[in-house]
Amino acid sequence: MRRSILSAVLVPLVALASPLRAEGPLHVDITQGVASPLLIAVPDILSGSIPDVAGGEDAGAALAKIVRADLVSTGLYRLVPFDGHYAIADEIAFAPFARAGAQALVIGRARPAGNNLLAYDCALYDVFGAHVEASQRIIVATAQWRRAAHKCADMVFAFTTGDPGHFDTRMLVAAQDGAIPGQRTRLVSMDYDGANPTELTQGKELVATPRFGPGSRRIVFLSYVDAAAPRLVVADLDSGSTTALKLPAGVPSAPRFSPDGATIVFSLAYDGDADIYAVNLASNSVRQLTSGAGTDTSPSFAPDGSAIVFESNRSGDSQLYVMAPDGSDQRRVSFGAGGHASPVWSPRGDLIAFTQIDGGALRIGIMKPDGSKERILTSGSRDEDPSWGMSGRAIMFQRTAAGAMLPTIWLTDLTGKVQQPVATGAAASEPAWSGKRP
Amino acid sequence: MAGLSIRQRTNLADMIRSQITPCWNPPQAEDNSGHVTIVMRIRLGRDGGVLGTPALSRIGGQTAANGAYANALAGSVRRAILRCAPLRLPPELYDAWADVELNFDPRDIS
Repeated sequence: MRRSILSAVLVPLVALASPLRAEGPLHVDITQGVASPLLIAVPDILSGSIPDVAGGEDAGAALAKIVRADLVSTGLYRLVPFDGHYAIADEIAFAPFARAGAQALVIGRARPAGNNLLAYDCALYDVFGAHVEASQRIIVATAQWRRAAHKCADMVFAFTTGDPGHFDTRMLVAAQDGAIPGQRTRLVSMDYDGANPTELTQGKELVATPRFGPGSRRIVFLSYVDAAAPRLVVADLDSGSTTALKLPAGVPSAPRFSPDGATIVFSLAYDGDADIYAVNLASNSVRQLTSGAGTDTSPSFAPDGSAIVFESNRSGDSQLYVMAPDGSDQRRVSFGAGGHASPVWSPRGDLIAFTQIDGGALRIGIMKPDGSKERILTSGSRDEDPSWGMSGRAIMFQRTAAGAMLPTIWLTDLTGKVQQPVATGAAASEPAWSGKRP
Repeated sequence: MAGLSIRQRTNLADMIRSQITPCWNPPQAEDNSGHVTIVMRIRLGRDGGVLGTPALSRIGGQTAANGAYANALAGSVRRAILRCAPLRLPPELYDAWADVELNFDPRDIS
């Protein structure tokens, strides 16, 4: 009985609703897409030669070349080739780029801006809508002209991925001249792509494990002025000042800054046992975070400072553990094949990069902080020491080719499909990748 | 238009979806990107071309943490619509597809 009353009420309602809904817009749900690289064109916009820029080459063409290299290195873009070029005053026609399949177009116009300055007007266009999606006037000193291209690529990356770009950044490496590993290492700072190298130490002392603090100004490294007693040294790259940290007895290694830059965590070996310690840089107070048997080393903070991942062989082989910043709540997170070493927490917080030790081979891998979704990205015979770009979308690492004595620096995306060597000049190891430059 | 059956409307929606899906290249979502959806309202000419600029009507799931991702997603949606235009749709039903609301939801992106 109830049922028939209900139907009687419902029928007229449905009849009423249909024509009303039909008068609104046609509604379409789209829940699938194609996750493929963005097709992008970065044509040369000729500016002519600009003093102190690109060694007298056409500045616009040189800058466009750097923007292309930056974007392609991420694996997130595919370049649409464009034969020919524009002059700086030319109107850009979108049709040829649309026909070539480009979805996005980057136009950069370089001009001298007086007082040894370079102005680079960088714009990202939507080819089909023919409108500007993002644009920026970039001003840099002519001596730092390459930064204009990196900043332009950073803008394109940020707008199309939602993550900050990692192109206008620096890298630290331990560069080696000698044929024997460890001989005459110099600390060298350079752009992330290997350009503009600056020697920070002169090769009189051995240096190891350079690391950046937040940003790109402060660094910490291990100095072997006295080879038997290495020290942790904090340096300010702007002022050139250095401070050797006062630490308890033992051999320090594997230093790394906390995300706020106030603390350095490191491993200290004493009497055959290595544990993790933290030193507060303002008060110089030192706190022991781990204890007990086994070597605990390579601590790395989560970007929000809420946890530390580190490597320990307490269970037999090297594995990764996570603990609270005060050392409490230690738990193992790596359970994939082989050993796991030198963990580094991504600046996005969502992944941990590490070196996998499997049957004598070393490879770079990533996993979620709980150890799930482990993926091995590289396939060299000896790939180690991962370092994240600030985008959280690229990793720099050290590769020693089979049969080679000395390592080189390589860059990989998070799929492992796009890998390339970084032009560091001499052999180099232990890359450290900076955060945002001022 | 008033006489359009539900089946006809569903077919039209399928035709639009199948033409726009291959053009949509959304940014890669990460754990902290959340579940963002973008609703765009477009008006189409009789030739299937987009009239004016596609208007963003709603963003769902945007938080303080994923604003940049949401912007990148909105950019990918706008490019998808413009890249696929003109849409090929039955001219005799133009009144039914002159005004379209597209709900982009990246939930099934692999």
